[in-house]
Amino acid sequence: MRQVRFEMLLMALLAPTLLSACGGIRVVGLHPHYPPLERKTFSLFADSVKVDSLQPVLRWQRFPYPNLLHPEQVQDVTYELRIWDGTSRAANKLKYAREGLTLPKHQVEQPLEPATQYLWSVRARFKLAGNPLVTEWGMAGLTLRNETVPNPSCFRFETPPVIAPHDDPHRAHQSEE
Amino acid sequence: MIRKWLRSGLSPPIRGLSGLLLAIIIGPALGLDLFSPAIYAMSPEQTEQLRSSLGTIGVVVSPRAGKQKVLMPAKGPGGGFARGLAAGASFPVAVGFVSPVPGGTLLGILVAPFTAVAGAFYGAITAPSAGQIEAAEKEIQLAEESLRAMELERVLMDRLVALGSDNTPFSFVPLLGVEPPDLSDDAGYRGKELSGVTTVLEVRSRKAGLRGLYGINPQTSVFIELNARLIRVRDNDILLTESPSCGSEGRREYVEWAVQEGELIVDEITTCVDELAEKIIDDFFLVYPTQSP
Repeated sequence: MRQVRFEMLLMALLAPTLLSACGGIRVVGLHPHYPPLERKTFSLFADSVKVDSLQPVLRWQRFPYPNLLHPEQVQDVTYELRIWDGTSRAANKLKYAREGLTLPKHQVEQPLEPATQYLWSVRARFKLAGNPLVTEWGMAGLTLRNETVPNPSCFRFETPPVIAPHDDPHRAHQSEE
Repeated sequence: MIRKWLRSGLSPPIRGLSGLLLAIIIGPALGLDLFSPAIYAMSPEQTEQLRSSLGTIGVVVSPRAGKQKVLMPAKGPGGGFARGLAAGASFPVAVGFVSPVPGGTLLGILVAPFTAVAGAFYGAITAPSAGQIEAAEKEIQLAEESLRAMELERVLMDRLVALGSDNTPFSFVPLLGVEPPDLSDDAGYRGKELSGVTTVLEVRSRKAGLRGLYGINPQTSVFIELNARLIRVRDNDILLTESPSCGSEGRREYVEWAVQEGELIVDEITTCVDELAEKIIDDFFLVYPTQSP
């Protein structure tokens, strides 16, 4: 009985923290806009969100942040994007990388593998009062900032299964152009 | 009540695991980032002040290997039986303790004997044979020899100097022939011939091996953990210290890692050396620690 009462007290103390764990997902670095972040209850990391194309248009938060102390001193902002294979056997192989991007969005230029999970992250490179600096790599959930990227707290998405060319919304858009 | 819990019948590994799981849940809710390098807790002004005083940076990488930590599978039916017994007994108790269901631990303790017996027989059947493990150990030893021959400490040093010189406004020089002093040595780098270096970036290996969740034939990943310190030479003041680590996302059984003289291990370790060099340069010299609102 005493042990049960102790456990009930512990649960009462933990309930607020557990409830907060059910709430918003913690993000460091630039926030991803597409694909959006999703997380199952009590999951430590973000879920793999299905994207609509093998060449998705990834979008993220613009830098500098609104709360930066001297945003007027920030110059030469570019973004660096990396995508890694997220399947458990593929040993985080870097699949795609671009740097020097000037907009907070990018369409992957070559088709990714269908029905595959990927890890991805993005950071900004910039100059502040002439000094080269970077933001940290974007991560979500239990942010493993001691670990190199990729790691389980990177953002995630999953590509669709193989689709016929006429069903690919991006190809249809390109042919209209 | 905490003392009572500590003195309860729960074994130390289960208490440790449960404590870790609670820390993972409570820490972030209290705003504590338990897995963060110190640089991310500094203000931008503090990092600017620190970096403005660095001068010429000498890079030294210790050739001494860190601790080796390899999570081995159970060996043969006997080993599998014993490990299955332990794993089967501890799992329901650990789950019960951290679950939000009141009385979960008590339920876990009641269930444990049954899962222990089931685990033992499962372990006896599924554990790799002693012969397989011994053959895999020989292959992995060959991988270790390959890695030693590659002189990865020199590769890491060169990579740090190249990345630092190319991407930061600081001047980086390799400190060849300079051994890192013992950690207990108060003199540090004072008195050593360092050719105008004012700050030392010192890197040591802490541990490396295969890690994963304890089990009969666990899926493990390769990992390396370093210790990196930025030390001001004139007064041996440690300006920054960090323990970056690198782990493979790919998980495999022990015998799978051993295939072809541990070729996969060699690939993972060499990739990790590059990634760790990048992380050290980023965190110490480039990261601007600020967060979006």
